[in-house]
Amino acid sequence: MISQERDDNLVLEAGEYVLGTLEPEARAAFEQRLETDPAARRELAYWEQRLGNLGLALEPVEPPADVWEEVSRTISFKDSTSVSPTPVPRHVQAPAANKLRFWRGAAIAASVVAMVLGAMLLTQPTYHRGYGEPDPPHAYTSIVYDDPTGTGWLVTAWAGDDEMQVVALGDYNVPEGKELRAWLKPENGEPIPLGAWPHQKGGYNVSLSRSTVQKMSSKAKLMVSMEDAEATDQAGSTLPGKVMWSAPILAQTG
Amino acid sequence: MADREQLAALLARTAEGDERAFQELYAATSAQLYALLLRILRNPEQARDALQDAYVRVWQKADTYAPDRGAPLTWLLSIARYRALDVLRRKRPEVAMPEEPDMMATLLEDEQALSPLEENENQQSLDAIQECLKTLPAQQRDSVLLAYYEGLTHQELAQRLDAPLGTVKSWIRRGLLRLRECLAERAS
Repeated sequence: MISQERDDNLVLEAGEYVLGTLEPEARAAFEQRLETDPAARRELAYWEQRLGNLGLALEPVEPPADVWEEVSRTISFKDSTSVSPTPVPRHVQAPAANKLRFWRGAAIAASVVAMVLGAMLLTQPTYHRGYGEPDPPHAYTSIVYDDPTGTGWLVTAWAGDDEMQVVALGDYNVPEGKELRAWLKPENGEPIPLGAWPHQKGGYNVSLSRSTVQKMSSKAKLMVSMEDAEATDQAGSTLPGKVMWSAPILAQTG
Repeated sequence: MADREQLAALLARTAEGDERAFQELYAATSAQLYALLLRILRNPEQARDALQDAYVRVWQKADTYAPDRGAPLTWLLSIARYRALDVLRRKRPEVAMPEEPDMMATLLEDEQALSPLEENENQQSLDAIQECLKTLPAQQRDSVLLAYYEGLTHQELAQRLDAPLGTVKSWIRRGLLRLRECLAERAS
Protein backbone atom coordinates (compact mmCIF):
# COMPACT_ATOMS: atom_id res chain seq x y z
CA MET A 1 0.00 0.00 0.00
CA ILE A 2 2.80 2.32 0.88
CA SER A 3 4.59 1.67 -2.40
CA GLN A 4 1.32 2.30 -4.29
CA GLU A 5 1.01 5.68 -2.60
CA ARG A 6 4.58 6.42 -3.46
CA ASP A 7 3.95 5.57 -7.10
CA ASP A 8 0.91 7.79 -7.18
CA ASN A 9 2.94 10.62 -5.76
CA LEU A 10 5.47 10.21 -8.51
CA VAL A 11 2.72 10.04 -11.12
CA LEU A 12 1.29 13.28 -9.78
CA GLU A 13 4.57 15.08 -9.39
CA ALA A 14 5.61 14.24 -12.93
CA GLY A 15 2.17 14.97 -14.35
CA GLU A 16 1.94 18.32 -12.63
CA TYR A 17 5.50 19.14 -13.61
CA VAL A 18 4.58 18.62 -17.25
CA LEU A 19 1.33 20.53 -16.86
CA GLY A 20 3.23 23.34 -15.15
CA THR A 21 1.09 23.43 -12.02
CA LEU A 22 3.75 22.46 -9.48
CA GLU A 23 4.60 25.20 -7.02
CA PRO A 24 8.11 26.64 -7.53
CA GLU A 25 9.60 24.80 -4.58
CA ALA A 26 8.08 21.48 -5.57
CA ARG A 27 9.17 22.07 -9.14
CA ALA A 28 12.76 22.68 -8.09
CA ALA A 29 12.66 19.57 -5.88
CA PHE A 30 11.34 17.47 -8.73
CA GLU A 31 14.04 18.78 -11.06
CA GLN A 32 16.59 17.71 -8.49
CA ARG A 33 15.00 14.32 -8.28
CA LEU A 34 15.15 13.95 -12.04
CA GLU A 35 18.91 14.10 -11.88
CA THR A 36 19.19 10.96 -9.81
CA ASP A 37 15.95 9.01 -10.09
CA PRO A 38 15.38 7.00 -13.30
CA ALA A 39 11.80 6.28 -12.25
CA ALA A 40 11.12 10.00 -12.11
CA ARG A 41 12.62 10.45 -15.56
CA ARG A 42 10.48 7.61 -16.92
CA GLU A 43 7.36 9.12 -15.43
CA LEU A 44 8.26 12.52 -16.82
CA ALA A 45 8.76 11.05 -20.28
CA TYR A 46 5.41 9.26 -19.94
CA TRP A 47 3.53 12.47 -19.27
CA GLU A 48 5.45 14.53 -21.78
CA GLN A 49 4.45 11.99 -24.39
CA ARG A 50 0.81 11.56 -23.37
CA LEU A 51 -0.01 15.17 -22.62
CA GLY A 52 2.17 16.27 -25.52
CA ASN A 53 -0.34 14.61 -27.81
CA LEU A 54 -2.79 17.34 -26.88
CA GLY A 55 -0.64 19.73 -28.86
CA LEU A 56 -1.54 17.75 -31.96
CA ALA A 57 -5.18 18.74 -31.58
CA LEU A 58 -4.40 22.27 -32.71
CA GLU A 59 -4.53 23.38 -36.29
CA PRO A 60 -0.94 24.12 -37.38
CA VAL A 61 -0.09 27.80 -37.88
CA GLU A 62 2.83 28.77 -40.05
CA PRO A 63 5.22 30.95 -38.06
CA PRO A 64 6.68 34.16 -39.52
CA ALA A 65 9.50 33.43 -41.94
CA ASP A 66 12.04 35.42 -39.99
CA VAL A 67 11.87 33.02 -37.05
CA TRP A 68 13.87 30.47 -38.97
CA GLU A 69 16.30 33.15 -40.04
CA GLU A 70 16.89 34.06 -36.42
CA VAL A 71 17.24 30.45 -35.36
CA SER A 72 19.60 29.78 -38.23
CA ARG A 73 21.70 32.83 -37.43
CA THR A 74 21.89 31.81 -33.80
CA ILE A 75 23.06 28.28 -34.44
CA SER A 76 25.21 29.01 -37.44
CA PHE A 77 27.27 31.59 -35.59
CA LYS A 78 27.70 33.77 -38.59
CA ASP A 79 29.57 37.06 -38.16
CA SER A 80 30.85 35.70 -34.92
CA THR A 81 34.56 36.22 -35.04
CA SER A 82 34.55 39.96 -34.86
CA VAL A 83 32.55 42.66 -33.24
CA SER A 84 30.07 43.71 -35.84
CA PRO A 85 27.17 46.11 -36.08
CA THR A 86 25.08 43.14 -37.17
CA PRO A 87 22.62 42.51 -34.36
CA VAL A 88 23.63 39.49 -32.37
CA PRO A 89 20.72 37.20 -31.56
CA ARG A 90 19.51 38.03 -28.12
CA HIS A 91 19.90 34.49 -26.83
CA VAL A 92 23.58 33.98 -27.12
CA GLN A 93 26.62 35.56 -28.52
CA ALA A 94 28.29 33.36 -31.03
CA PRO A 95 31.54 31.48 -30.87
CA ALA A 96 33.63 30.48 -33.83
CA ALA A 97 32.02 27.68 -35.78
CA ASN A 98 34.89 25.25 -35.35
CA LYS A 99 34.59 25.61 -31.60
CA LEU A 100 30.95 24.73 -31.77
CA ARG A 101 31.67 21.64 -33.75
CA PHE A 102 34.20 20.48 -31.27
CA TRP A 103 31.95 20.86 -28.30
CA ARG A 104 28.72 19.85 -29.83
CA GLY A 105 29.02 16.10 -29.76
CA ALA A 106 30.70 15.92 -26.41
CA ALA A 107 27.85 15.99 -23.94
CA ILE A 108 24.33 17.10 -23.35
CA ALA A 109 25.27 20.63 -22.46
CA ALA A 110 28.22 20.88 -24.76
CA SER A 111 26.76 23.23 -27.29
CA VAL A 112 25.63 25.55 -24.54
CA VAL A 113 29.07 25.44 -23.03
CA ALA A 114 30.62 26.25 -26.39
CA MET A 115 28.34 29.20 -26.86
CA VAL A 116 29.04 30.46 -23.38
CA LEU A 117 32.75 30.09 -23.88
CA GLY A 118 32.41 31.96 -27.12
CA ALA A 119 30.53 34.72 -25.40
CA MET A 120 33.17 34.77 -22.71
CA LEU A 121 36.00 35.08 -25.18
CA LEU A 122 34.26 37.97 -26.85
CA THR A 123 33.74 39.77 -23.59
CA GLN A 124 37.04 39.16 -21.85
CA PRO A 125 39.25 42.18 -21.28
CA THR A 126 42.13 42.43 -23.71
CA TYR A 127 45.63 42.42 -22.29
CA HIS A 128 48.21 44.10 -24.46
CA ARG A 129 51.53 42.49 -24.09
CA GLY A 130 54.79 44.26 -24.85
CA TYR A 131 58.47 44.15 -24.07
CA GLY A 132 59.26 44.39 -20.40
CA GLU A 133 55.66 43.99 -19.40
CA PRO A 134 54.71 41.18 -17.08
CA ASP A 135 52.84 38.22 -18.41
CA PRO A 136 49.10 38.63 -18.47
CA PRO A 137 47.43 37.54 -15.28
CA HIS A 138 45.93 34.14 -14.91
CA ALA A 139 42.21 33.99 -15.21
CA TYR A 140 39.87 31.46 -13.72
CA THR A 141 36.65 30.66 -15.47
CA SER A 142 33.78 28.41 -14.73
CA ILE A 143 30.41 27.64 -16.12
CA VAL A 144 27.53 26.62 -13.94
CA TYR A 145 24.78 25.08 -16.02
CA ASP A 146 21.33 23.98 -15.01
CA ASP A 147 20.25 21.47 -17.62
CA PRO A 148 16.53 21.29 -16.80
CA THR A 149 16.03 25.02 -17.25
CA GLY A 150 18.89 25.80 -19.59
CA THR A 151 19.92 28.58 -17.26
CA GLY A 152 23.60 29.10 -16.70
CA TRP A 153 26.17 31.34 -15.13
CA LEU A 154 29.46 32.33 -16.65
CA VAL A 155 32.12 33.13 -14.09
CA THR A 156 35.44 34.88 -14.58
CA ALA A 157 37.93 35.75 -11.84
CA TRP A 158 41.28 37.38 -12.43
CA ALA A 159 44.30 36.54 -10.33
CA GLY A 160 45.26 39.60 -8.35
CA ASP A 161 41.75 40.99 -8.54
CA ASP A 162 39.37 41.12 -5.63
CA GLU A 163 36.16 40.36 -7.41
CA MET A 164 34.80 37.99 -9.96
CA GLN A 165 32.43 38.67 -12.79
CA VAL A 166 29.30 36.59 -12.95
CA VAL A 167 26.99 36.67 -15.93
CA ALA A 168 23.66 35.05 -15.25
CA LEU A 169 22.39 33.95 -18.66
CA GLY A 170 18.80 33.69 -17.55
CA ASP A 171 16.49 33.86 -14.58
CA TYR A 172 16.50 30.99 -12.13
CA ASN A 173 13.45 30.53 -9.99
CA VAL A 174 14.40 30.65 -6.31
CA PRO A 175 11.63 29.70 -3.87
CA GLU A 176 10.51 32.33 -1.41
CA GLY A 177 12.60 32.32 1.74
CA LYS A 178 15.55 30.77 -0.07
CA GLU A 179 18.60 32.18 -1.75
CA LEU A 180 21.52 30.91 -3.78
CA ARG A 181 25.00 31.14 -2.36
CA ALA A 182 28.36 30.33 -3.92
CA TRP A 183 31.29 28.40 -2.53
CA LEU A 184 34.81 27.68 -3.59
CA LYS A 185 35.72 24.08 -2.87
CA PRO A 186 39.51 23.69 -2.90
CA GLU A 187 40.95 20.31 -3.79
CA ASN A 188 41.67 19.68 -0.15
CA GLY A 189 39.75 21.63 2.39
CA GLU A 190 36.36 22.84 3.38
CA PRO A 191 34.21 24.96 1.07
CA ILE A 192 34.89 28.67 1.34
CA PRO A 193 31.78 30.87 1.26
CA LEU A 194 31.81 33.39 -1.58
CA GLY A 195 28.51 35.06 -0.79
CA ALA A 196 25.13 35.50 -2.44
CA TRP A 197 24.73 34.22 -5.98
CA PRO A 198 22.59 36.05 -8.55
CA HIS A 199 19.47 34.35 -9.80
CA GLN A 200 18.27 37.01 -12.22
CA LYS A 201 19.63 37.51 -15.69
CA GLY A 202 22.41 40.07 -15.90
CA GLY A 203 26.02 40.81 -15.12
CA TYR A 204 27.30 41.00 -11.57
CA ASN A 205 30.52 41.57 -9.68
CA VAL A 206 31.04 39.36 -6.63
CA SER A 207 33.66 40.56 -4.15
CA LEU A 208 36.38 38.11 -3.18
CA SER A 209 39.22 38.23 -0.75
CA ARG A 210 42.71 37.89 -2.20
CA SER A 211 43.23 34.79 -0.12
CA THR A 212 40.18 33.22 -1.72
CA VAL A 213 41.43 33.97 -5.22
CA GLN A 214 44.74 32.40 -4.29
CA LYS A 215 42.94 29.17 -3.50
CA MET A 216 41.45 28.98 -6.98
CA SER A 217 42.92 26.33 -9.21
CA SER A 218 41.89 23.89 -11.86
CA LYS A 219 41.54 21.33 -9.12
CA ALA A 220 39.09 23.43 -7.16
CA LYS A 221 35.38 23.55 -7.83
CA LEU A 222 32.77 26.22 -7.77
CA MET A 223 29.64 25.17 -5.93
CA VAL A 224 26.28 26.90 -5.66
CA SER A 225 23.90 25.95 -2.92
CA MET A 226 20.32 26.71 -1.99
CA GLU A 227 20.11 28.14 1.50
CA ASP A 228 17.46 29.45 3.82
CA ALA A 229 17.60 33.22 3.39
CA GLU A 230 17.00 33.80 7.09
CA ALA A 231 19.84 31.53 8.10
CA THR A 232 22.29 33.21 5.80
CA ASP A 233 21.16 36.67 6.87
CA GLN A 234 22.67 35.90 10.20
CA ALA A 235 26.28 35.03 10.74
CA GLY A 236 26.34 32.90 7.65
CA SER A 237 26.84 29.19 7.68
CA THR A 238 30.32 27.81 7.15
CA LEU A 239 29.21 24.82 5.14
CA PRO A 240 26.83 24.70 2.21
CA GLY A 241 23.31 23.43 2.68
CA LYS A 242 21.79 21.86 -0.41
CA VAL A 243 24.37 21.93 -3.19
CA MET A 244 22.57 22.61 -6.45
CA TRP A 245 25.49 22.66 -8.84
CA SER A 246 29.19 21.91 -8.72
CA ALA A 247 31.27 23.13 -11.63
CA PRO A 248 34.94 22.70 -12.54
CA ILE A 249 37.21 25.70 -12.71
CA LEU A 250 39.39 26.33 -15.71
CA ALA A 251 42.70 28.10 -15.12
CA GLN A 252 43.74 30.18 -18.10
CA THR A 253 47.19 31.46 -18.80
CA GLY A 254 48.43 34.08 -21.18
CA MET B 1 3.96 16.29 -42.14
CA ALA B 2 6.80 13.83 -41.92
CA ASP B 3 6.17 10.59 -40.10
CA ARG B 4 7.74 9.48 -36.88
CA GLU B 5 10.68 7.68 -38.46
CA GLN B 6 11.48 10.59 -40.72
CA LEU B 7 11.40 13.03 -37.84
CA ALA B 8 13.53 10.73 -35.70
CA ALA B 9 16.08 10.53 -38.49
CA LEU B 10 16.11 14.30 -38.85
CA LEU B 11 16.60 14.65 -35.11
CA ALA B 12 19.48 12.18 -35.18
CA ARG B 13 21.19 14.12 -37.95
CA THR B 14 20.52 17.34 -36.12
CA ALA B 15 22.25 15.88 -33.10
CA GLU B 16 25.30 15.38 -35.28
CA GLY B 17 25.29 19.04 -36.20
CA ASP B 18 23.62 18.72 -39.59
CA GLU B 19 22.06 22.14 -40.12
CA ARG B 20 20.26 21.04 -43.25
CA ALA B 21 18.51 18.27 -41.36
CA PHE B 22 17.66 20.76 -38.67
CA GLN B 23 16.12 23.06 -41.25
CA GLU B 24 14.01 20.19 -42.57
CA LEU B 25 12.96 19.35 -39.05
CA TYR B 26 11.96 22.96 -38.52
CA ALA B 27 10.00 23.04 -41.76
CA ALA B 28 8.16 19.85 -40.85
CA THR B 29 7.25 20.73 -37.28
CA SER B 30 7.37 24.47 -36.58
CA ALA B 31 3.76 25.14 -37.54
CA GLN B 32 2.55 22.66 -34.93
CA LEU B 33 4.79 24.11 -32.24
CA TYR B 34 3.83 27.66 -33.17
CA ALA B 35 0.14 26.80 -32.92
CA LEU B 36 0.67 25.52 -29.39
CA LEU B 37 2.72 28.54 -28.38
CA LEU B 38 0.09 30.89 -29.76
CA ARG B 39 -2.56 28.97 -27.89
CA ILE B 40 -0.71 29.20 -24.57
CA LEU B 41 0.77 32.68 -24.82
CA ARG B 42 -1.94 34.40 -26.87
CA ASN B 43 0.59 36.90 -28.04
CA PRO B 44 2.19 36.50 -31.49
CA GLU B 45 5.36 38.33 -30.52
CA GLN B 46 5.90 36.20 -27.44
CA ALA B 47 4.97 33.06 -29.34
CA ARG B 48 7.48 33.96 -32.01
CA ASP B 49 10.25 34.50 -29.48
CA ALA B 50 9.36 31.31 -27.64
CA LEU B 51 9.41 29.38 -30.91
CA GLN B 52 12.85 30.73 -31.66
CA ASP B 53 14.04 29.79 -28.17
CA ALA B 54 12.51 26.36 -28.50
CA TYR B 55 14.33 25.52 -31.71
CA VAL B 56 17.63 26.78 -30.40
CA ARG B 57 17.00 24.44 -27.50
CA VAL B 58 16.15 21.61 -29.88
CA TRP B 59 19.44 22.19 -31.65
CA GLN B 60 21.26 22.04 -28.33
CA LYS B 61 19.38 19.04 -26.96
CA ALA B 62 18.80 16.95 -30.05
CA ASP B 63 21.33 14.40 -28.86
CA THR B 64 19.23 13.76 -25.75
CA TYR B 65 16.28 12.55 -27.76
CA ALA B 66 15.77 8.82 -27.66
CA PRO B 67 12.87 6.90 -29.20
CA ASP B 68 11.83 5.69 -25.76
CA ARG B 69 11.08 9.30 -24.90
CA GLY B 70 8.17 9.08 -27.28
CA ALA B 71 7.32 10.39 -30.70
CA PRO B 72 9.64 13.12 -31.96
CA LEU B 73 6.84 15.59 -32.51
CA THR B 74 5.47 15.33 -28.97
CA TRP B 75 9.02 15.63 -27.63
CA LEU B 76 9.38 18.84 -29.62
CA LEU B 77 6.02 20.05 -28.41
CA SER B 78 7.13 19.47 -24.83
CA ILE B 79 10.21 21.60 -25.35
CA ALA B 80 8.12 24.38 -26.84
CA ARG B 81 5.59 24.17 -24.06
CA TYR B 82 8.25 24.43 -21.35
CA ARG B 83 9.45 27.61 -23.06
CA ALA B 84 5.92 28.97 -22.99
CA LEU B 85 5.58 28.15 -19.30
CA ASP B 86 8.83 29.99 -18.64
CA VAL B 87 7.44 33.04 -20.42
CA LEU B 88 4.23 32.88 -18.42
CA ARG B 89 6.12 32.55 -15.14
CA ARG B 90 8.18 35.60 -15.94
CA LYS B 91 5.22 37.79 -16.80
CA ARG B 92 2.89 36.84 -13.96
CA PRO B 93 0.82 38.24 -12.36
CA GLU B 94 -0.37 40.20 -15.37
CA VAL B 95 -1.13 37.05 -17.35
CA ALA B 96 -4.16 37.57 -19.55
CA MET B 97 -7.33 35.72 -18.75
CA PRO B 98 -9.29 35.04 -21.90
CA GLU B 99 -12.98 34.50 -21.48
CA GLU B 100 -13.64 31.40 -23.49
CA PRO B 101 -15.01 28.87 -21.07
CA ASP B 102 -16.28 26.47 -23.70
CA MET B 103 -13.14 26.25 -25.74
CA MET B 104 -11.86 23.23 -23.88
CA ALA B 105 -14.91 21.20 -24.73
CA THR B 106 -14.53 22.30 -28.33
CA LEU B 107 -11.03 20.94 -28.50
CA LEU B 108 -12.30 17.57 -27.44
CA GLU B 109 -15.43 17.39 -29.53
CA ASP B 110 -14.85 19.30 -32.73
CA GLU B 111 -13.26 16.99 -35.22
CA GLN B 112 -12.52 19.96 -37.46
CA ALA B 113 -10.16 21.25 -34.81
CA LEU B 114 -7.90 18.28 -35.22
CA SER B 115 -4.79 18.87 -37.20
CA PRO B 116 -4.63 17.23 -40.60
CA LEU B 117 -1.92 14.85 -39.52
CA GLU B 118 -1.82 11.82 -41.71
CA GLU B 119 0.38 9.84 -39.43
CA ASN B 120 -1.65 7.10 -37.81
CA GLU B 121 0.35 6.70 -34.68
CA ASN B 122 0.07 10.35 -33.76
CA GLN B 123 -3.63 10.25 -34.46
CA GLN B 124 -4.11 7.16 -32.34
CA SER B 125 -2.19 8.70 -29.48
CA LEU B 126 -4.27 11.84 -29.72
CA ASP B 127 -7.44 9.79 -29.87
CA ALA B 128 -6.40 7.87 -26.78
CA ILE B 129 -5.86 10.86 -24.57
CA GLN B 130 -8.94 12.64 -25.90
CA GLU B 131 -11.12 9.62 -25.27
CA CYS B 132 -9.70 9.25 -21.78
CA LEU B 133 -10.23 12.92 -21.04
CA LYS B 134 -13.86 12.52 -21.98
CA THR B 135 -14.25 9.95 -19.23
CA LEU B 136 -13.19 12.43 -16.57
CA PRO B 137 -15.68 14.50 -14.59
CA ALA B 138 -16.00 17.92 -16.23
CA GLN B 139 -14.10 19.85 -13.56
CA GLN B 140 -11.17 17.47 -13.63
CA ARG B 141 -11.04 17.50 -17.40
CA ASP B 142 -11.31 21.27 -17.64
CA SER B 143 -8.61 21.73 -15.01
CA VAL B 144 -6.17 19.51 -16.88
CA LEU B 145 -6.96 21.08 -20.25
CA LEU B 146 -6.76 24.65 -18.99
CA ALA B 147 -3.43 23.90 -17.37
CA TYR B 148 -2.15 22.32 -20.57
CA TYR B 149 -3.44 24.79 -23.14
CA GLU B 150 -3.16 27.97 -21.12
CA GLY B 151 -0.43 27.18 -18.62
CA LEU B 152 -2.59 28.22 -15.68
CA THR B 153 -1.35 27.79 -12.13
CA HIS B 154 -3.47 26.36 -9.35
CA GLN B 155 -4.40 29.87 -8.24
CA GLU B 156 -5.34 30.95 -11.74
CA LEU B 157 -7.37 27.80 -12.23
CA ALA B 158 -9.19 28.51 -8.98
CA GLN B 159 -10.07 31.99 -10.23
CA ARG B 160 -11.09 30.81 -13.65
CA LEU B 161 -13.21 27.94 -12.41
CA ASP B 162 -14.46 29.92 -9.42
CA ALA B 163 -13.54 27.15 -7.03
CA PRO B 164 -11.45 26.95 -3.83
CA LEU B 165 -7.76 26.39 -4.33
CA GLY B 166 -7.72 23.06 -2.54
CA THR B 167 -10.58 21.82 -4.67
CA VAL B 168 -8.80 22.73 -7.86
CA LYS B 169 -5.64 20.99 -6.73
CA SER B 170 -7.72 17.92 -6.02
CA TRP B 171 -9.33 18.07 -9.47
CA ILE B 172 -5.94 18.17 -11.13
CA ARG B 173 -4.58 15.28 -9.10
CA ARG B 174 -7.61 13.08 -9.47
CA GLY B 175 -7.79 13.93 -13.13
CA LEU B 176 -4.19 12.92 -13.72
CA LEU B 177 -4.57 9.66 -11.82
CA ARG B 178 -7.73 8.77 -13.71
CA LEU B 179 -6.10 9.68 -16.95
CA ARG B 180 -3.16 7.45 -16.12
CA GLU B 181 -5.46 4.54 -15.36
CA CYS B 182 -7.51 5.02 -18.51
CA LEU B 183 -4.46 5.28 -20.75
CA ALA B 184 -3.03 2.14 -19.17
CA GLU B 185 -6.30 0.28 -19.77
CA ARG B 186 -6.38 1.33 -23.41
CA ALA B 187 -2.78 0.27 -23.89
CA SER B 188 -3.33 -3.19 -22.38
